[in-house]
Amino acid sequence: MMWKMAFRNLFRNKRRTIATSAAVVAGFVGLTLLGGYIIYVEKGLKSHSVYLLNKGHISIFKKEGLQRYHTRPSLYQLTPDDRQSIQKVLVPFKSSIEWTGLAISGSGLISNGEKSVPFLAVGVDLESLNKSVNHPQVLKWARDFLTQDSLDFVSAIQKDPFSISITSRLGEMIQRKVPFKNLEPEKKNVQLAGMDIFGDLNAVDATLSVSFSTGSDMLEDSGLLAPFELLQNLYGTDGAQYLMIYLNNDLDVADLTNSINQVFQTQNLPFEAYPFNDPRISANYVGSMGFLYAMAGFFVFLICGAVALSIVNSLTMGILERTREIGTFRAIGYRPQQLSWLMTQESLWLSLICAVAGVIISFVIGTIVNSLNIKFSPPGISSEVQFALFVNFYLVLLIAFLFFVLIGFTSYFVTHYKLKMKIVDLLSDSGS
Amino acid sequence: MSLVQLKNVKKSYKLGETWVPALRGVNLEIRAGEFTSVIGASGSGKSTLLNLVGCLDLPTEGSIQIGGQEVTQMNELQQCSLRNEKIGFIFQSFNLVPVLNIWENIELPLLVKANLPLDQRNQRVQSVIQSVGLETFKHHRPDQLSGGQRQRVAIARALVTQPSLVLADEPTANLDSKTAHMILDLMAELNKTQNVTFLFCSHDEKLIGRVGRIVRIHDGLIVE
Repeated sequence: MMWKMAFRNLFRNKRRTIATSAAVVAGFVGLTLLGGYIIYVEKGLKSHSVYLLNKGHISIFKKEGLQRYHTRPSLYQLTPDDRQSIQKVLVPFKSSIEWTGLAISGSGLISNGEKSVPFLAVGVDLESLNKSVNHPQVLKWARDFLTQDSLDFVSAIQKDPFSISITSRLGEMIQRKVPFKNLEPEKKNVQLAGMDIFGDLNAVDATLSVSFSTGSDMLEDSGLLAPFELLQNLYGTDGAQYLMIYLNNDLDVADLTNSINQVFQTQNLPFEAYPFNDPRISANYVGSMGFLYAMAGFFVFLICGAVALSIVNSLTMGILERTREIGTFRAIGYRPQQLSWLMTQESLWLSLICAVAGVIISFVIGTIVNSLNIKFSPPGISSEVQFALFVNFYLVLLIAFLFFVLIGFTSYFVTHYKLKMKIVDLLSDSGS
Repeated sequence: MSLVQLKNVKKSYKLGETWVPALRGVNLEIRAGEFTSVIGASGSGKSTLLNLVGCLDLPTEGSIQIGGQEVTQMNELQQCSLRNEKIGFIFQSFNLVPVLNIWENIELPLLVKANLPLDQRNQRVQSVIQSVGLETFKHHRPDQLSGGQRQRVAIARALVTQPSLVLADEPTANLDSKTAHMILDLMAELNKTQNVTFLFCSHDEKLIGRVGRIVRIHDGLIVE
């Protein structure tokens, strides 16, 4: 009956309950949508970094290779023997791994025969290229980073192993406009020039096939994606810069990275594993998420403060009005803790009602916003991305729990003082 | 047999920097089954006396025993149990919970003890609701009842725990004289039929004829 009474008490002063509920619901909706947006951005950036930028969930470099590969590639590359040793280490972790791939990166000049401009290239094995662009996580969360024809790159390579993909801005710089498939055959031919790993000048022929986006405004003038073997030829090596590990479940990243590094250490192997969320691997992901988390923390603090103050205000008024009633409860034998629990039950009812209303409102707002397909260009991002709001089930549970705890504690502290009063003082209170 | 025993009970309240005595050494004994009224003018100390007997407040000095137990030595939990199990309260303003119906208001003291089975709870509420003649109103809210009916509910609530002592502070002050007499008659009847000990305070001299024992209080001292 106490729960029933607590529920009915909400309707004593309907106007105040509605005002408090509105504040709590607004807070709940705010946190739900803010959290949903951050989850959406996080998943998008993660999918972009892991799959489209070919970092993998974990990347394995030669020891110190992450920092020094570009200065001494011959020393810090992964040789075929190194890759074999790494694959042996990965055998016990096979059940967690979806696939592994190889990547090599470097710089050089791309030339159309008349004009040469610098590029920053990444060469990736065909399997990784194919699986990455078609990965469900990419199609669900990072579709904005895919260009119209980036899905055709693998089939272009299968037809012509010299096919390369460049950003549309790099294409414009060498006077080649997208879509490249519409170019005359001779205009598709370009030459890539670069220093091989021993410091000698080298060049290879390549064919412009499709365009892609790096996702980063800074890299969009120079981005080039190539088959792994083509860049190996350009840089005159059979080595790779790093080995990518793609996991079935990205929750395993930290544990698996630590485990792999432990095996490297115990077996005295000269390799290092890095998770995708290491700032040295994915600076954009880490920087963007750091900013978003800081912003979210600030808003959570503000919203929780506003909700707590609303509850304090509402409860204080409610308790003031019911001072004599509290005295009656105490007189007939109720302990202060029992009354405190009754007040908390009222607040929990309020939280529950507000949580349900908050979820419904969040869902409606999210659906409307998503259907409007609002596109915008975030700073530093090369492509337009959709402003989308998602209601995440686990996040809703977390926020509801947070609100229950917040409101429960607030109620407890507000009622605590009043319940410490002498019963005769409570009973003689006029309720003013 | 003595149910309530007060020995040299004093109570003072601090008003600003000065202590104002409300009771100045009260000695009183109430036997089980008595129907006692404390009569006195406003400010004479009768409500203070009832509050002390009801363990709603503690004396500045002196001893109060209820059912042989010294209440001044009890901790808060023991006092709560004593109030719940052995004492019933009837207030001048009825003090019913407006969001609960009559049945639920009467049931309220029984919910303090979580171990009382539901069927026993229902049986007790049914029994007292019948004894105060409000069975047909059990689903009504307090604001749907008259003043006299509300005080009957308060009486039922005081009796539902089967207490050995019922304290009533000016129970008829908010009622018209006819209803006040009806309420007193009901209390007197319950005293006779159920042997419940009643101690109530009033400033209304006209009620004296209906009471078994009268205790007069003046300036914090029992004078008669």
